Formats: sequence, C-alpha cells, structure tokens
Amino acid sequence: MKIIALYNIKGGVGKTAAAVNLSYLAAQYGAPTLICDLDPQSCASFYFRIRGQKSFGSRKFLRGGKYIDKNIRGTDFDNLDLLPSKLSFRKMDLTLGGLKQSRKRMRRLFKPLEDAYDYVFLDCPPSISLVSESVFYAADLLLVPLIPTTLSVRTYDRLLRFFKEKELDSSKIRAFFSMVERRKKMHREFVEQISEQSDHCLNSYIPCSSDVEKMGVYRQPVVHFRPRSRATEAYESLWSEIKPLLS
Amino acid sequence: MDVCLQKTETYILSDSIDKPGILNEISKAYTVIKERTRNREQCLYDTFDWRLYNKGFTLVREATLYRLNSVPKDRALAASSMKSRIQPRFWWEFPDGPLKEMLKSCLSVRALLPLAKIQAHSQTLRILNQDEKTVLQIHLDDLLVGDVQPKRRLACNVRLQPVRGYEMALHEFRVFLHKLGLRPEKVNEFAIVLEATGKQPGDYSSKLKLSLSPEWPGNVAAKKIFVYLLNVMRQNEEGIIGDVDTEFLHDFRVAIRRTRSALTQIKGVLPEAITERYKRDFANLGKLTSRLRDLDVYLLKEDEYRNMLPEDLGSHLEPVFETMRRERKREHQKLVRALTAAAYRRTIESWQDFLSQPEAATNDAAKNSNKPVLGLASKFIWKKYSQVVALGQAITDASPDPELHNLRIECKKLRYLLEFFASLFPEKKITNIIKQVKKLQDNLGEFNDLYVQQKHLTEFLNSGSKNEIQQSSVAAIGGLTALLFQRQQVVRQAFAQALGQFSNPGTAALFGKLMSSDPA
Repeated sequence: MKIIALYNIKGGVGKTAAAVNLSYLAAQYGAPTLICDLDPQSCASFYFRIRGQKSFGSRKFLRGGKYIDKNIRGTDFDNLDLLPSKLSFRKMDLTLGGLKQSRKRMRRLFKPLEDAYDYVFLDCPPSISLVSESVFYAADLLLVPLIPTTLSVRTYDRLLRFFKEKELDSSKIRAFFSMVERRKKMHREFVEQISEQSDHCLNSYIPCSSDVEKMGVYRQPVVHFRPRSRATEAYESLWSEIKPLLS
Repeated sequence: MDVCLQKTETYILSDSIDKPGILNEISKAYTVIKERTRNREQCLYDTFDWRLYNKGFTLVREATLYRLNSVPKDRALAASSMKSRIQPRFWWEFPDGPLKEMLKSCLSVRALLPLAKIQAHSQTLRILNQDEKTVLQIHLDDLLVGDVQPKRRLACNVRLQPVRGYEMALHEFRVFLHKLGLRPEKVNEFAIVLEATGKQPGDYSSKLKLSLSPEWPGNVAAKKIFVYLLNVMRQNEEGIIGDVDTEFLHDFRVAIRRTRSALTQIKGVLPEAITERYKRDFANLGKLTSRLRDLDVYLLKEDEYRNMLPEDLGSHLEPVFETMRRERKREHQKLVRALTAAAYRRTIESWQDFLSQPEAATNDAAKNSNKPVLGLASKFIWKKYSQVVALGQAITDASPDPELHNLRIECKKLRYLLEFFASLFPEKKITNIIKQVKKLQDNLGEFNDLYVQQKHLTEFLNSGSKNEIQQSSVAAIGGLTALLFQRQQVVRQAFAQALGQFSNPGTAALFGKLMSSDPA
C-alpha cells in the first residue's frame, strides 16, 4: 500500500481536483484505492456525493481502527472508496496535539488498511499544522500542486525548509504545475525556470480547465464525465509519471 | 474494494413475480437509474478429472476476466484479467498473481477445458439517495444455457451488489424484496447448467473407485475390475487424440498397466486362452504408447533440467529439447493413427464383449473362477507381501542395481493388488497399508526414474541423431547425467531405511491380521 498526499498550504491550487482524478484513475486501472478527505471543507466528499456520518469526527478519525473502517464508503466507481471528512476536522490539530506520538499517528491509522488498498490518497487541508506534519511523515509521496507564480514558489521553498528543520525526508516531495495557462508568458517562464532548478519537479502539468470547474456541477471526476478532454489527458499523464515512483 | 471479488446476494424470480413486475415495483418505490441492458456470457472451466470441482472451486470467465470462486464460501477468491482474448489452458499461461498461484497448486499439468456457457441478459439498476449517490446496485439477470440450441432459459435472478458503507439501503431493500415474496438463494448456477447440458461433475477420476463384495465369485469380481479399467481407457481416448494434455495418455497407460497386472496377478479366474491373448494385446498397446510418454516426461522436465546446470551449459540443452519436440510430434501422429485404426478397435471391442458375457457354469472353468473373491484377494496379497519383504531383505549395500529394480516391480504388483481389492477390507486399515507400500514404492520409484533418465540421455547421445547434436549440447547432457547419477546414489542410501519401515514387525502384523481376518 502506498500513501500519496496532495498538499499545499494555499487553498484553491487544484489539490482536491488532483486527488479526486488521480484516485479515480488508479482505481480504473484495477487497483483497490481509498481517497481520504482530510479537509474540513469536505470538497472531495462533495464531489463523490458522500456525507460523513453524524457520529464521525476528528476524535473518531484519530482513534482509527474500526472507527475508520465503519466510515469508509464505496463511491459510484469500481475499486474506489472514500473516507469522508466532517466540519469538526477543523479541531483535528487540537485533538492530535493532545495525543502521544502525534507525528507518527497518521501512519499508524492507515496500517490496518494495508491489505485492502493498493493506494491511499490524502486530500489535505490548506494549512501547516500538526496534522500536516503527521501527513508528511506518513506519506510515501507528497504531491504539491503549484500555480506557476512567484508567491506559490515561495511557499514551496518554505515547505522544503520546513522539512529540513523537522528532519523529514524531502526526497518524497514532488511538485507539479497546476492551473497552468499556457497563454500567459509568466506561467510559461516559471514552468521552465523551476523545472530546470529543481529535481523535485514533475514534467506533467495540469492546465487551467473549465471542465475541471464543472466537477462541482456534475459531481464526478472529470476523467469520468469528459474522458477525451485536455484535463483528462493531463491527469492520465500525471498518473503515469507518478506510478513508477511508487513501486 | 476490489470489485471483482465483491460479494453479491441473489434472489430467484419465480412464480410470485416476473421481471417486468419487479422493475415496476422498484421504480415505484425508489429513485432509480436504469442502465443499458448488457449481454453477458460466462464460461465455466475445469480439468478433465474435475480438479477444481473436487476442491470446491469454480473457475469462471467473462470476456477476458477469470474469477476463481469458492463454492462453500459463496464468494470469489481471486481474479485475473487476460491481456488478450487467447484462452489460457494451463496455469502458467495466466498472468502473475494470486489466481495463477491457486491454479498452479490445483491443476499441475492438466489443461482447463470449457465445460459450459451461461448467457445473461443483464439489466443494472442503481438506487439513488437524496444526493443522487448510488447506494445499491441491482442486477436483473435472465439466464440462458449458452451453447445448446434452442437456448434453454434457466432462471431469472435478482442480484444485489451492495455499496460499502450503505448497509442500511441494502437492508431496506431486502425487506422490500421480502414483502414481494422473494427470498435469498444460494445459487449454484453451474450445477444447474451442467445438469442441463448432461454433464455430471466428478464423473471422471484417475483413482480406482471400485466396490466389490467379499462373497462374489472370482471371475465376477475380476470382470468388474476389468470393465472399470476399460472404461478409463475409453474415456481418455479423445483427449489423447486431441493432444489436450499429457495426463490423458498417462491415465490411459496406467489403466493398461493395471489391466495387465490384474491379468497376471489375479490368477485362475478367467479361461487361460483369454488371459494369454489379452496379456499380449495389452502388452502391445503399452508398447505403442511408451515412446510418446517418455518424450512427454522429458519435455515436462525441461525447466528442471535446465535449472540443474549452470546457465550457459543449461542453454545448450535447448537443441536437445527441440529435437525431442519434433520426435514427439511424430510419435503423437503415429499414436493417433494407431488408436483410430481397426486393429485397436477390434481389441477393445472383443475385450468389451467378453467382459459383458455372463460366465457359463462349466466344468472346465478356471480353478479360482467360482471361489469367493475375499479369500483369493487375501491369498494373493499375503503371498506378494512376503515376496517383497524377502526380496527386500536380501538386498545389501553391495547388491547390484537390477535387484532394486526387481523389487520395485514386485512392490508395484503388491500395490495394484491392494488397490484392486481395497473395498473388501476395513477402510482405515487398508488405507494405512497402502500408505506404507507407497512409501517404499516412492523410494524405489525415484531410484528407477533417475536410472531411466540417465539411460535415455545416454541413448540419445549414441543415437542416430548424433549429427544434429553439437559439442556444447553433448557437454550439457554429460553434465546432466552426472548430476542425475549423484542424486540416484543419495536415493539408494535412503533405501535401507525405507525398507526397514516397511518390513518391520508392526507392518507385518498389520498385513497378517488383515489378510487372515473375516470379511469386512
């Protein structure tokens, strides 16, 4: 089982869209896959039309075991399950802080699922916190979507420094460009510049796409309702670039 | 969750409600999406000797997806998708994975044969909740027997495919079906299909499943044995001619061997002229098939041999095997001609005729013909056992190899006798005795096997095909022969212990007691 986290401290960069479409692709290729919504805004859960149970919350989530098991739901798609989030996940940092071994906790939570799933995708909340740190430790691959602008590159550098400070393994980080507008010169230049400078950068990028925006209307992965779109091509390319990194 | 392995629940539509009726009821009670009707075809596979069925498995193919199901557990255990539409026959032709591993342990060298086809006209319904999320899938399957004309309707099933985490919806729907008069059934569709196509699962086995009664006259019991063996031979003919897998010929030859053994060992139950004639005829049949069987065995050992040698030397075995493959093809064609020839048919039919005649009670019937078979069996078995023990104990470390080969032959005769007459004795005891004999036989068999392999490799070297073999292959064969010889010595050393276990007072007592006891 491999854990892939979609992370960025900034919101609105395409984390959830990536998590949803990549997990859908993984499942389509036959691998039993779980997408775990960690964002209290519950966007991933919304896209899959799944609500978390009333009794579920951050405390139950962190207790793991049967509490997680009971709350996993099958999506409408073969081989793909979802663990929904709740608004109360906004308190997760607090709860996590009160527990022992907070850093290692996330990794332990997913251990019982090792035989059930080949891939677990984590859709992370936009923040930097104990929960994030726990995710950094748990993930086999940390995917960071970046909009090619100065500010997002700064936050990316910040992330790398954070890893160094906390003595985390930064070789698991891979950035990919998201919401790229090829018409914009700055976007093009940034993509080129950063790809050259960093070995953590993937070649595949996700273009800005109205089809992806329509996910909220269709409430399905774009790869499912627009299989021949530019966006689908991009996600397929991204997945095929990521997959070998995980074996 | 891997969708291929997901458990579904089945209800059978019958008189209480039909397909349009249930569609109507569901649409009234729920928000449904109806998907397009699909035609699905499933094919069931097993080996000729029902290896999967005997282990409680079914192997089902739908398009390129193969699924191995457990019948008692009523769910799928493993699934594998073929890359192309080529249908795999043997376990090694499947893609790597749990399915391949399971098939490897079940099938060994036997081929999978298509047994039956089911066609289903499948309509899928998705039950939606208020968020328009699918909370339950329902498949309405109209099942037909696939490869008979006119197509026979088997049943109409309602199959529930639950969605994880939406158990409430499943439960509610169950109640809904209950109210309509439907109950869940454990459906073994294939048992129904097989019955519909006239096939009986388990109708072939290479084991001797004979049931004799102790008071039967010798000739009646003997004929029963011969008829059973003749039947085995006939059942395997088609598979040999069609070259389906190597075991058809193997089972055919074992039946011949057993027939010859019975003709020799079960003395005095049939007229002498008959015994002599058929001993000859079956000996000839054996000869007809032996070269092909030898070649099959070597070709099966190809990987093993190659792995025994260092890599570059092992690769030089390839031309040797290629030559063997060509010869095998020729031998197979020869055998096909022989089995379809009139001479063979005459032998088989006249044997069949003889066996089906009731025995005329004449004064010159064979001496054991009318004696109760239990007494005969005990006598023959005890005599053979004593002979085996005596021969075995005469062998020392210094004894030449042919003495071990002799012993092996006598041991085999003992084993056959025990198997012919097993039904006359208490089951547990006879099974135990056969187990003891088998242990000794395994040691002697391995010893002989290694000897034969060396002999044939050397013959191959000296044969006319020398021109076809290169220096490098000669070296490879030499290396192989040396290794086989080494192995043979190890087996020889284990013989003393194997014999000791067999001829010790405990086993002797077992035999003695059984062979002088009253009828089972």
